[in-house]
Amino acid sequence: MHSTKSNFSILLLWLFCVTLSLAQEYTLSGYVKDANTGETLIGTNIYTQINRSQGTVSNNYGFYSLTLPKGKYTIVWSSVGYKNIEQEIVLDVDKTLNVDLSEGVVMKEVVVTAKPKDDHVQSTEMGTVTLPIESIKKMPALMGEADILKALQLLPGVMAAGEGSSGFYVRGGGPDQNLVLLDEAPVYNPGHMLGFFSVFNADAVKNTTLIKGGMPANYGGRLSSVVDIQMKEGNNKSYGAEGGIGLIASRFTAEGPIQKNKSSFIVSARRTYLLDLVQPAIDKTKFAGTNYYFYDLNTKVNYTFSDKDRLYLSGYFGRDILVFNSKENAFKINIPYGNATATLRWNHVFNQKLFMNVTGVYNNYDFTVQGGQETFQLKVASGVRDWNGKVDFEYFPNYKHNIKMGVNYIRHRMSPNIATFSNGEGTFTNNLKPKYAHETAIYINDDHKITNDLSLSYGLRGSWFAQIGPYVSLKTGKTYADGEIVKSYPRLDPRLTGKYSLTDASSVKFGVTLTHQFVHLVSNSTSTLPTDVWVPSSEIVKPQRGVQYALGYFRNFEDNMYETSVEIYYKDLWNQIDYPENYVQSPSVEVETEFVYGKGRAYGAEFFLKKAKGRLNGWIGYTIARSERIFPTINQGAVYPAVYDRTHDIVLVANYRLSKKWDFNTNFVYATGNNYTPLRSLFLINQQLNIEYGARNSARYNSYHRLDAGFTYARNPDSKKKFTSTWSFGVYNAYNHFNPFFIYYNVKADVNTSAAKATAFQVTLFPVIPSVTWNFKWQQKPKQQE
Amino acid sequence: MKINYIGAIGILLTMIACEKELTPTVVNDADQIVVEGYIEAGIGKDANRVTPPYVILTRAVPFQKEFTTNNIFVNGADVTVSNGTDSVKLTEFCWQNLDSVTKRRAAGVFGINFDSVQSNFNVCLYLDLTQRMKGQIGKSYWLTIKKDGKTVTSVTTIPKWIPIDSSYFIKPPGTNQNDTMVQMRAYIRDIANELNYYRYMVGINGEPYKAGRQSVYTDELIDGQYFLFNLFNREQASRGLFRRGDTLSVKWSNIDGEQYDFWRTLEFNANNQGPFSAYTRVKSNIQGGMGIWGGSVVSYLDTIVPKK
Repeated sequence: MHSTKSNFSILLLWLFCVTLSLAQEYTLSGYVKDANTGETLIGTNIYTQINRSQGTVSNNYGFYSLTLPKGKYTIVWSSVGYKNIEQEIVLDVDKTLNVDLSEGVVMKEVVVTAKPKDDHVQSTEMGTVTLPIESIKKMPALMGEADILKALQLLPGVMAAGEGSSGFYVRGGGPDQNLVLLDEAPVYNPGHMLGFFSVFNADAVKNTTLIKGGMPANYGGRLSSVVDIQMKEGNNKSYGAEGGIGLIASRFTAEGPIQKNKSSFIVSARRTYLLDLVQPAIDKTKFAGTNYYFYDLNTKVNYTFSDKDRLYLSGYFGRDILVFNSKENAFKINIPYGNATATLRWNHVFNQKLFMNVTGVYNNYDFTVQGGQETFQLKVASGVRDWNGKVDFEYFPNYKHNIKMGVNYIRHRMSPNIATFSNGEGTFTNNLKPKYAHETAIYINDDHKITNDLSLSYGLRGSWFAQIGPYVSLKTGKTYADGEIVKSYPRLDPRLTGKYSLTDASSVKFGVTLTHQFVHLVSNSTSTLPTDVWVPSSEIVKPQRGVQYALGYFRNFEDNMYETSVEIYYKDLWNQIDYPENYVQSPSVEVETEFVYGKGRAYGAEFFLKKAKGRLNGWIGYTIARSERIFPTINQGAVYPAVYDRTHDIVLVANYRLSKKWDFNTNFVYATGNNYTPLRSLFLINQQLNIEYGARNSARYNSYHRLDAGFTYARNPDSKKKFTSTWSFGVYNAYNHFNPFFIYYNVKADVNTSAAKATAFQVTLFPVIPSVTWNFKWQQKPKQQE
Repeated sequence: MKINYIGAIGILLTMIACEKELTPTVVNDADQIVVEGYIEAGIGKDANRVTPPYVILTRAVPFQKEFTTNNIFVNGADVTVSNGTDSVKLTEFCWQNLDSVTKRRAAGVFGINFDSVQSNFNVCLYLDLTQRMKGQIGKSYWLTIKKDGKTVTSVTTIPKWIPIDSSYFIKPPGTNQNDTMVQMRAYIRDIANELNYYRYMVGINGEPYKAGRQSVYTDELIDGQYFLFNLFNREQASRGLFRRGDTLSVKWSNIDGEQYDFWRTLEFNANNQGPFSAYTRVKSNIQGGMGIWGGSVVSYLDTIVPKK
């Protein structure tokens, strides 16, 4: 550890020396906001007109800082879907300039997804995609429910975990290897209804960024990807409300200023009512009282104290409730589960070059099954509870450097399946206890423009994870006191990505990133379920480790009308976790005592062609990939394909503006079938036919393909009225392809006739499903500026 | 008690699902020998009802092949059971070679309705005719099978005796109370500080004993307790309840952990097929083959469900 520490200090020192050598520079800084709503704008490019590489990007809080040599510049502020602002600035003193961008009337009509200029080619980021929420909302969706995570699945390298699932696999990694953040709070179970819908209500979301390769050092703790979602702050200029009524759910959002231009709020709620609607019918059956629904509540308030200080408080609360009731035999079961997160953030601008964000997060995920028959009752509960503190600095010494550094501490409490059972005479428990851990990290990352053509983003993330007491060792029986360290894992993750511009419109990018993961969720089924439990690294479970090498060629055509890229990647994975071949869940056993460990690798190539502008826009993605695992105890030690392995994956996303009123959207997906473990043989035991399975994941479902299409209709697109509404008509699986959801075997045996027959059936979950949603928006007219 | 909560949600989903028959990937694999063998011990009155050690040898049949009892039995194997000091060779019997009186008796053992047996039916088993090898609590028994130069072996240990302590019947819970069905409850007195495993089967009105979808239990949650639990009728249509006036016989077995694992994995596969359930591999205590060689101490609870 000593050498690690000193290396780190040297790096820090060097980074700061870089800045000292430069003289006669002045800084332009400020916030970029939406002119109408006052929402800060993330990812706005700010650069000098003469030299695109003399620029910076607004951060997650809309703050930017650009330090340039003394001089006269035309500065451009450019953001997705907004009109550019160009302003001549004489930079002979440090200047603060807050900029309000207006939604581009022209841009909005033709493009919403276009990144300004040649960002695609010129940024150092690779494997990073930002999806504007407006384009996600336009995509045809299952049952009309716009879904952020499902929209991400339409990007190359991202695969759906299964039919209709919001769970996703990134570049051959497992679903627990994706870090999903909502306002900096990790969301441990981002799915409702067994993952068919994601927990993110699109009306409350401002921005979604996916990082599937080249994770910078400010992120860590997961191997595969980061999905960073920011909630809207709320309009701080005028009141507004929007919502929608769909087939299975309705949404409502209200926002507005608390104190104009200083503080605002947003409240957004969503609830499903599919089974509520049929309650009267259910009440007449023997299952009266049975119901299922989920809901989400997003809230956020913020207060701007000054140009230097701003406070945000945001919360998410969502739950699934399943009640199954059978009066006939007095059987009742209750399954509530969900996430609750609260994030408090304080932005502070120390000076024009140094921005700080302090974050405190409380995060809770819990899952409970409670039910039984009269005096016989069973309760199983599991969950995660985190207290999470972060301090992040962004330092902009000059336009050549964007240095991020910070520290993070998380205290985890992870509860295994704690079961209690009562029979009316006594209560019995499996005596499993929650596990506790410290997860700390310190990082530094510099996005460094070395020359006009060459940029590097390099960083280092040091983590220290420790399992702590109270705990009784499963290995030695030793009792650990509250807070006493059981086992600790110091880890160091170097990160490097780079870009070299070949021409103005083309570049080569590369990345090498090492990542560690300290909390794990292992599923014994093809997709993750709320019943799966998170476990921390411990005396038994080692952290997962992954290294990814990526290389890409990026090129834009026809004045950035077309963006293309080819990325290849190779990943090595260590300490991968799975269940043994003859695993059966037992309520009395800690899951980690059942784990088996192995290695993995994943590699592939991703091809991407995007038409960013024009009445017709969208993209085509093609991925060819492989993901393999080697476990000594699985498949007799031979290599086998991971559940996450898909050979081919083709995606087409298109948006066509038919007229001002009508929009046409379509998605097409083709993917190699998921693999599964096939039935091998039938055998006779106990006068019954039994089944034995073959080698793990050695067979594949038929390939998956699906076309979704939808129209959006705005009756009065140019209306200046306060109240406007649109209709969305969609169809999921338009040509009704019977996609495989799962396979089951029906074994019919008759010992008396001494013959038996086994038949396999493929079950399709979603045939063609039409949907219609009515969306409305009410916006108080902003008063004229005095 | 097992609650299939995923199944409950599954029901909701399958309301819109549809299915079609499929020809899945063919898995080519060598046929494996499947062993099903038991050795029992009994205490007191139950000692007379102990079945002598027997072994059924079959072959697993590849999924896509036709499965009939004509092509699965392994005949002519050399099967011996040893207790470490003494060993006996088991004698092979095949159904089709038996006289009709013996057939009728054997049908009872194997849960076959004798009157509906087809003429082409066959079953073969290896049985200890010497009556020398009787299971004893705490003792281990080695099984050795030799066939075509291959050897299959296993060992099992008969665990401690923990019989059903007592039982009673109550009106079934819920609104569906008619007077014809009752719920059976029973107590056991578990032994503390050790893992105990239980298995039960139920025979009604002299019919063969039947195991349910879940036949094995462990005391992990109830270690050392005097424990009340529901005993279920294994007929599917009965919803676990027993009919008034029926004569019941509960065959209660104390088994070891390896048998528990075997039945648990076997039954898991039988009960779990679907979108959210995983497969498991059957955990066997047979070396060189698959299946089970199970020693147990058995006790019987015979009772008549009260008419009122």
